[in-house]
Order: sequence, then structure tokens, then C-alpha cells
Amino acid sequence: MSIAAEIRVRRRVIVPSWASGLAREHGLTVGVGILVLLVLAALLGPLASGDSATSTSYGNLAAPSAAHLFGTDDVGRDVLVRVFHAIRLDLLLALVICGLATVAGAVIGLFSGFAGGFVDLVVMRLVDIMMSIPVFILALITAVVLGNDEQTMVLAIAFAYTPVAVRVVRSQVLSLRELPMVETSRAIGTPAWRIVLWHILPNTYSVLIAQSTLFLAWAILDTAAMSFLGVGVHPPTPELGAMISEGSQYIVSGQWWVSVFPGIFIALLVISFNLVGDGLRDYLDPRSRR
Amino acid sequence: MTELATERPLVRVERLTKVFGRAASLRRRRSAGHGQVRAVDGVDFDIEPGQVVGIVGESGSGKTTVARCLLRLIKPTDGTISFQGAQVLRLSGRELSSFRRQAQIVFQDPFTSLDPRFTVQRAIAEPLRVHEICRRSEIAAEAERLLASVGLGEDFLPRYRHELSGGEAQRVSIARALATKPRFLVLDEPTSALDASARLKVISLLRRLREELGMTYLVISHDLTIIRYLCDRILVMYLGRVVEDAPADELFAAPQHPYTEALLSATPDARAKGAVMRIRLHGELESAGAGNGCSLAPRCHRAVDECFVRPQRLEQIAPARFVACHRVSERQITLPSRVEPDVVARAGGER
Amino acid sequence: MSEAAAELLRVRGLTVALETRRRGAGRVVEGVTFEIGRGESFGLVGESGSGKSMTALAIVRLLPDAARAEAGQITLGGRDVLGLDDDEMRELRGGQVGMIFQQARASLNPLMRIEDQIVRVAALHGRANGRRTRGTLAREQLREVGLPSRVARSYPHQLSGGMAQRALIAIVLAARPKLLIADEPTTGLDVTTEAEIYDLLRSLRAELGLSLLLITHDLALVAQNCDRVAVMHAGHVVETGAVDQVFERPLHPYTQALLNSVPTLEGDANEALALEGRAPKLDELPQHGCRFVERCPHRMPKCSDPFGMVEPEPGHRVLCRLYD
Repeated sequence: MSIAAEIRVRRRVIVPSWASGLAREHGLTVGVGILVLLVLAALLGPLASGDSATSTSYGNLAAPSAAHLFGTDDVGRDVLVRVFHAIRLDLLLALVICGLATVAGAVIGLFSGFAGGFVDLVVMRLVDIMMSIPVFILALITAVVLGNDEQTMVLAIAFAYTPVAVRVVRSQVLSLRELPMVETSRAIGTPAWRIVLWHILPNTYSVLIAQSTLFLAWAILDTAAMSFLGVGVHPPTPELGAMISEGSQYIVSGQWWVSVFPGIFIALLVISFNLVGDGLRDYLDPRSRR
Repeated sequence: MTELATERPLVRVERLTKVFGRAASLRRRRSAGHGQVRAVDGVDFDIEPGQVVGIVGESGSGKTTVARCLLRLIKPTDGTISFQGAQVLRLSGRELSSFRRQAQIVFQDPFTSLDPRFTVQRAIAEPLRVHEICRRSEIAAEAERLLASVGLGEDFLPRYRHELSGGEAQRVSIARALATKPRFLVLDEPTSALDASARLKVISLLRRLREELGMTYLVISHDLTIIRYLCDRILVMYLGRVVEDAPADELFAAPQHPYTEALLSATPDARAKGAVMRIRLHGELESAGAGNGCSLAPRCHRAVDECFVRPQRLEQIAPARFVACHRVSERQITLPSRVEPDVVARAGGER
Repeated sequence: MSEAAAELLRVRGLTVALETRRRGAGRVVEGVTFEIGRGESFGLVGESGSGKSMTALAIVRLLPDAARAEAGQITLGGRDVLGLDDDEMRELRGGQVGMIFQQARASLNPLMRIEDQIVRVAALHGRANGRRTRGTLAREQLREVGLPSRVARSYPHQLSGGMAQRALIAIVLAARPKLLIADEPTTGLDVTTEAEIYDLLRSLRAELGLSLLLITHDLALVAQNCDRVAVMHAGHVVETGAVDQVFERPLHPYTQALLNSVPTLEGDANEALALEGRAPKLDELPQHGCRFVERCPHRMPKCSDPFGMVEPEPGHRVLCRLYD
């Protein structure tokens, strides 16, 4: 009985190698699972509940019950409904922030890394200066300076994140630039812009993806933190951080549900983004697959 | 009145020098300190059209740097390179693009010169697209034709580099290099990363292509057996300088430089009958010192005191034969000759 | 009786099965039989994929998870290697059999000085007696391989490729193994450095009675540095014998083709080199019979039947139906 025959018996389903590879990343699967649930909730929840997000017709500060699974807040709004609206808002904000920071960082990082020389020197000094200030502080200051609303908050946070993306992309570009395949392209006569477009950029996708999932996780936390402080998102807009802030005064007196549920969902969002990011990064790392 | 030469040399290299490290400029040569390496130190040679020239040397010889300078992948510190009469280092724009079409290179590692995200077709298509050699609709057909010329079928077109063996990947690199129909092909250690049968396929292919397409080759290698199989003329380099320049058969029959002699004796040969007298060079390879004198002197088995002070120069000792060893060019010694027993190691054991 | 005493390693009918997800399953080594005497230098030569590295790993039982020694017997100094338990294997690895690979720097601990690595190995195998200081022990080992004392306090990245390989040899030999397995130890090194490494190995064999199993695809190296050789093709040993027997009178068509395919320094530079086709892949291996049959110019129907090695000349064995 040959070994080859034994092997064939075991495998019943033919799966493309990339799919089976992904499935092996358990963290990734869990993260994606949680995320999918949250996104569904965010999309469908508000539709199902109509305008009850702002309806104050329920009793104030009612404890969680069958009617109100997460209880009600100090003005009588259903916390569950508000949480789902808030998830939708936070996800949206996080996506925009992440998108802006990633794209800006990638463009600057690619250009600076490949061009090198004086341009690179200047860009990196700017990056160093920006990164010497803690990200949140930088974002906060920028947001306050620019004006105190949602749009400026998004821009400010994206601005604070950009140097991180620049550094990450640039370091990847620096190592790619020295590879024989780039030297070969130069020998072929491929112009610099095409080398960047065809060879360098596609090979930065994996670090970009990993970094952008980190950005998503940070963005949730930072927008929550800023809203908690009253910058950016203002009441009565449901936002997870703002909700924690609103409910913080009631914790001591025993009405924990107003703050705790939004907090739990912040944690869930961040965990799922981290899991997805780690899992994607491991999956994309060629060494861990082969 | 002398007759005009009918064919200029295809490539002419003069005083080529490349110094790596800080303050890599000639003006500061006298105060050259630590951290500087003279990878290439005043190299001159010509390559005639249709010739197959080999550069042989070990690590630190500068041969790879010479190849990269020739193709303008590295900027030399000093010296000139001309290709078909034009100064390579001063080309720009359309002329530079034309040079890149005419002069191509195949690197040592067949895998890392291919983009892991590119299919074979896309890799071969790159020069076709960059130089607009054919219409977009014809690219696939042209890629297929190029693959066929290196002995690979069209089933290779959709493959990625990790789906190729070493020999196949190297042949893809050759196909890509041929896409622009170059006149001049530089091969940097084309077979060093390959095993026996892949190596064989690649060198047979290179021989055949040269005959079919009439190209000029520069082959860089540390493996004398490959050089012998492919080249008509050989330059031997040591620590950045050319130490011997001779037609291939003469080099192997009667090497004229002590380093060539040592190199030949150290090269293992599957068909050598009986034990081989191996010449042992003293000590380790070190960077050339700042002093004058022959770069090989500290290790040379034929060195005398004068070797350490007299500047090393490449001298002509016969038509088409050049040697950078004053003891040989002044006929103080004639190679090959008896070598002192203490420098000889008897390879092959007790057979 | 004296023949048995002079024999160090005996491999009989070794078969290793490999299961891979991507490249199929099969016997990557089959029926491999050879022996190495004390103080002898033995070359195991073959192209990539011929199973030579797997054979070496099987000897020290360090096969990858996907591979399994299915059959055969390995005897080292009279002991049955495949029957040893974990503790005995640990003592055997390093203490009886040392291994060195390509790219010596990758085998060295980048954070430890060379002398510490030497002493650690020596201590592990009970060779670091208290009388000598670590420095002395290390310097002695280094002197044995021809390295200056200053290397003792160096880190691996400070050494050149050749020096690193020598340092690795010093470390491995600190345990005083009887057999040194070297898997492509000089690939990537300059020819002159390579020659020096083999000179070193030759003198160590003479001084210490060390046996060498050299694994390489380079025929020329084996011709120059080994006493006996086994040629492998697709998991089979197709020919084995003394180096001059096999290289001057090659019997197996594969050996003949291989010798013809290698460019050399002597002889006609323009002679045609030839080695057609490629070795069968793991899932293309026939159940029994010759694995070279697809490419062999002398193939016959009986080549696909199961058969064993024959010995046309004393000491020179071949796996080919042309000779039985």
C-alpha cells in the first residue's frame, strides 16, 4: 500500500490553498467573526429600532430588563439602541481616519523612501518632530486648534497617525529598493515611477494592511477618548466614548449600565481589529506559510 | 597614414575605479582612512563585438562591481566607459534608454531578480512594455516566443517565481534579458546558484544563443570551469585589479600570473587524474592596503622584497597577453615552473 | 573481523517516506545501502532532490515531521541507531556524529562569542575538565582548525565565510565526534578558501581518525577529496565504490551522464555536454524498479522489475540491470 494512496483518502474537500491557509489562522477567524456581528448590528440595528435612539419615553435610569436589554440612560433613552447607533458612527469615523492616514502615509512614505537624499531627510525630520509628541496629545491639540467638531476631529487624528504610516512604508521601501529585482528593473530601463508602481507599492500591501488595522483599533480608542473629553463629537450624538462620559457620574451610585455597555463594545471592536490585523499579518508573511 | 579600424570595440573601459565608503572621492585619496574599500582600482579593457569575455576572481576581486558599473547600476568614482563609441556615464533620456535596450544583465540569484508577485509573462513583458517593443496585444505571443528560445513551454507563462526551479527561473531571466534584442549581455555568476543539470542546461543555452544571435557576452564567475566552457578571452581579477588578460586556451595551458596559477590549482576537477599539486596562498584575503606595491604580495608564493614596493602594472608580454607581475614580465621567472614544496598541498590524499 | 572493527557507519536498506501537501508523497530515499570506515572520507553525491540530505538527517534522526524512516538499519560503531531512546540519541548527536551545513554563520549563535560556543559544546559532551580554563580550551580547538587565538573572543558576524566555517568545525569537533557529516559545507565560498577547508578536513582526519561524510552536488569536490563515493539519483544509490573506480570506470548510465555533463579544466573545451531530462518528482516515482529508466539510453523491459545491487568489481557496486 503506497503512502500516496493513504494521503489521498484523508483529504475530502478540495480547497484552494489560500483559503485553507486563512482558515488555519484561528485568531483571524474569531476576529472576523466578531467584526461581522458588530457590523451587522451597526447596519441593521438602527434600521430596526427607528427613531427610538433619541426617544426619551422610557423611564430614566432603568436597569437592564427584558424590555431594555442594556437598560436606559439618564434621560430615558434605550442604551442598547444608542450603542448600536454609536457603533455605526465609530466604525465610520474609524474607517475614514484609517483611510486618510494610510493613503497619506503611503504616498509620502513611497515618495520619500524611493527618492532618498535631501527630500527623504526633510520628510523624516518632520516625521520625527511629529512623533515626539504622543499621538493622542497631538491629535487633541490639532483638533482643538482647527475647530471643535466631528470633521476636524477626524482630520486631526488622521494627521497624527500619518507619520506612523510614513515610517512603516518608508522602511519597507528602503529594504525593497535594494533588492535585486529593483536593480534588474533599472537595468531593463524601467523608469522610477513605474518601478514604484509595479514593484514597490504592491510589496508594501501587507505592511499597509497590518498598519491600517492597527489604525482602526487606535481610531476607535482615540475618538472615544476625545469624545469622552468633549472634543469632536457632542451630545446628543451617540458615540461610545461620549456615552461613557455621560454615564460616568452614575457609576458610583450604582447605575453601571450606562457606561459599561459602551465600554464593552469599544473593547470588542478593538479586540476584533487587533485579531484581524495579527491574523492577516501572519497570513501574509510568506515565511509563516511555507 | 594608418587605416581606420573597421570596427570600434563594442565596449571600452578606461581607468575604471570605484571606492566604497565615506569620502569616496579621489581628491582625498591620500588621506584615505578606514572604512574605505577600493573595490575596483584602475581597470582597463576592451570588448570587441562578438567576443565572449570572462572575468574570473574571488570575493573582493571587484568583478561584480565592474559589471554593475558597465551597466550604470553603480556610479564609478573615476574612469570612463564607452559603448559603441558613446560615453555611457553621460547618457540621458532617449540615448540612455537606447543603451539600456542594447545592454542587458542576468544576475546570479535567479529568484530574487524576479518579483514574487509577477507571473513569468508579466516579468518578461516588463521590458517589452517599457521600451514599447511591440503592441500590447502582441505581448503574450512575444513572451511565448522568448520562452521557447530558452527551452521553456507556454505553460510557464502563468507561473510565479515560487513555482519555478532554479534552472527554470534563470532561463526566465535570460528570456527577459533577450526581450530587447540586446547586442551585449552581462552574466553575473549565471550558474553559481544552480545544481548540475540546471547548470548544464543554462550554459548550453548560452552557447547556442550566442551562436544564433551573434551577441557579445561578458561572463563574470568564480568558477573557472564555466568560464572555460563559455569564453574566448579571460581577465583575472584580484582585489580590484586585473592581474592577467589572455585568450582562454592560453590561460589554461600556461597561466602567467601567480594568482592565476594558484586559482587553477585550487579548482577541483572531476576528471583530473591523480593528485593535484595545489598552491597555497598564505593568509586571508584582506583589503588592499594604502601602500604601493602588488596587492597579492603579502600572500604570493613567488613574492620577493621588490614586490612590496614596486607599483603593480598590467604589462603586455605577447600579442593579446597581459600580466600584472613584474617578475613575469621581466622574465625573472617563467610560469609554470617548480614551486617550493612548502607552498604545495597535495590534494587527493593517498590515492 | 578486522573489517568490522574498521567500519564506523553501516547503512542497510534505508527507506524514508515523505508526505507533503504540495508535492505529493513518496519514498524520497529507498533501499540506500553504504558503509563508512573509520578515518575514511565518503562522498554522497547527487543533484538536488536526490535524497542525499534526507539520508544524512535520517542517520542522526533529525528528519522533518513530514518524513519518516520506514525501513532499514543504521549502525554506528556497532550500535543500532534507529533503536536508541531519546537520551541516547542526544548523546549520539554531537558526541558521536557532528554535522555542519552551508552558510556557517547561520549555524552559529550571533550573540555568543566563539569561545563560549566551543566551551558550551565541550561541556555538554563531558569534555571540559576543570583544569583548563575556558580560554585555553577554546584556543586549543581553534588552533586545531588553524584559526588565530583572536577569533576566540570574536562574534560570528566578525568572521569571513571561510573563517566562520572553520570556527564551526572547531565547535563541532569540541565534542570529539567520530563521524562528521558535512552537507554542502563550502557552497558559496571562494575556491581558494574551499580548498583550504578540505585541506583542513584531511589533516583532521589523519590526526583524529575522524570519518567524513561529505554531501554535495559537486562531483569535482568529491573526486578531489573523498576516498569512496555513492552516487544518488531520485532516492536510490545507483553506484558506489572507491572514487577512482567510480570516476574512471563509471558503470551506471546516470553516473556516466553526470560525469559527461560537468565542464572541466582538462580535455576538450568544446565537447558537447549532455544530461537529458530531469529526475522524477516525488509523485512520479515508480513503485519498484529503476528510477532512471525514463532517461536511460539503455533501458530494457526488465528494468522496471524489482532488483538489487550487484558487484561487478570488488568494492564497486551498481544498481543497474546491465550488469546482472
